[in-house]
Amino acid sequence: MNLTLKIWRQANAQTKGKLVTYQISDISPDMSFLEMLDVLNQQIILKGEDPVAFDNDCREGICGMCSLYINGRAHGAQSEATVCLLHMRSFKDGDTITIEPWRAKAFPVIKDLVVDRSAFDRIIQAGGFVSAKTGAPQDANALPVAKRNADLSMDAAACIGCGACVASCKNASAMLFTSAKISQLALLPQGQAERDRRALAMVKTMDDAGFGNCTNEGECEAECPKAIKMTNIARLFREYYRASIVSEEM
Amino acid sequence: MTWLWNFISSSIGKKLLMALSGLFFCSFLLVHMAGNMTIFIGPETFNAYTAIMSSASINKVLEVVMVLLFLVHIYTSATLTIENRAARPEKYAMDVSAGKRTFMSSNMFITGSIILIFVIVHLIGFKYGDWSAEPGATNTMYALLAETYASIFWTAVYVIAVIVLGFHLNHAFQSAFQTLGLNHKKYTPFIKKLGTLYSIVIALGFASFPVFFFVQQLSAGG
Repeated sequence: MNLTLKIWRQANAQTKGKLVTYQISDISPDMSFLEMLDVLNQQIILKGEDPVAFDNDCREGICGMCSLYINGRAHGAQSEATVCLLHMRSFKDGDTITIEPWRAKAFPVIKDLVVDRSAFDRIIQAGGFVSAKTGAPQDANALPVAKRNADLSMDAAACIGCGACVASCKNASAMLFTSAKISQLALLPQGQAERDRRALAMVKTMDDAGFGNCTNEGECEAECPKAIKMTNIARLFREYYRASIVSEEM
Repeated sequence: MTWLWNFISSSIGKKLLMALSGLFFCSFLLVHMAGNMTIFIGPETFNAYTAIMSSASINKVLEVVMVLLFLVHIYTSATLTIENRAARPEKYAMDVSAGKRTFMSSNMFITGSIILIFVIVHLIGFKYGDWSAEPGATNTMYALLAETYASIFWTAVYVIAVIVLGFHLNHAFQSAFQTLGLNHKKYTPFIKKLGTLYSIVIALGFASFPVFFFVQQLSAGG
């Protein structure tokens, strides 16, 4: 396959970036998208230039590191998959592919296609945990959990924190991410003790990070590689209302 | 009261203000439209209706509540829109919808701004227009409506405005329930359908009044 790539190049957070066009040939349709970028970088390095920086790690769709906006879509047009699971057979010979970083004030570009997603870490640090001394392993059924809650919690916990929800939201809102991290704990008995404090602190941190507001459009849900549902955002609202209005939390 | 300020100034609190004020307007529109339906019964009934509406003291209270909620809705939407624009300082060179984005969902601020201008024009033209509900007056609200909608310009303005309103409501209605935290497979599909039906009924219902007068004077003139 022969392709034209338009890739966002930006030296660092301070400088302005621009789309740079590259031609690449003899790409196998069996390559993954990231392998194609590896081939491109090899060519760039051989020319003595600076290779394209992009985030990636596990390359099997579970770590959430890869984060490319491909032809106007987070992780490309393929549904329920990260960039590393996107293959070149999804494109046609002669295609032009535009590759941009996630765009959000809360996710500043570090270099080229790499953005700083530590705002997500700060949201987790604010309350996305259970502080309990776990002690020795418990008997498996010591804490009864309704099957439907276990399923819903597991579905929410599938979030890999890649940021596709923020990237695809027209408002760069982080509500799908935050709602997944709140839901996974709110649905389980272990999450109850810190439930209200968690909702207040995580929403406050999310707001302070400079993310936009949710306008209930649903692009996040459609782009999420782990199919996190907007019902989690409704649960986030309920948790927040409860914490603000009903709970003893100040 | 710090908690209250923290709550309503948070992203979720502001959304709740939008949803609650918006749902109030949704119910107001139904009442307003139902009342206007007396136009089809005849001038006497409609003028009697306007006399009751303009004299009932409960309406004075409701007017104040509505103006306040309108200001809340406008102020909050402006704040949210400014924050949302600021949250993405650099736009994508290429941005394609994953399928959930609609004309309605992506243009709420624009349709809302058009509705705001329309509401001001509407209030100046009718509520504060040259009409009287006194017995025996000739400049009744019905006469004012007939005179206004004899013009194709005003008929078109009103029809277009209520269509824009319909687009706004289509996203707004179901969105408000999501914001209230009400999203469940038991009823969300029903709420979405109800929202579409509601927005169509409101748009068609309100469009029927100017069209009725316009067609009436056309046939009277012809």
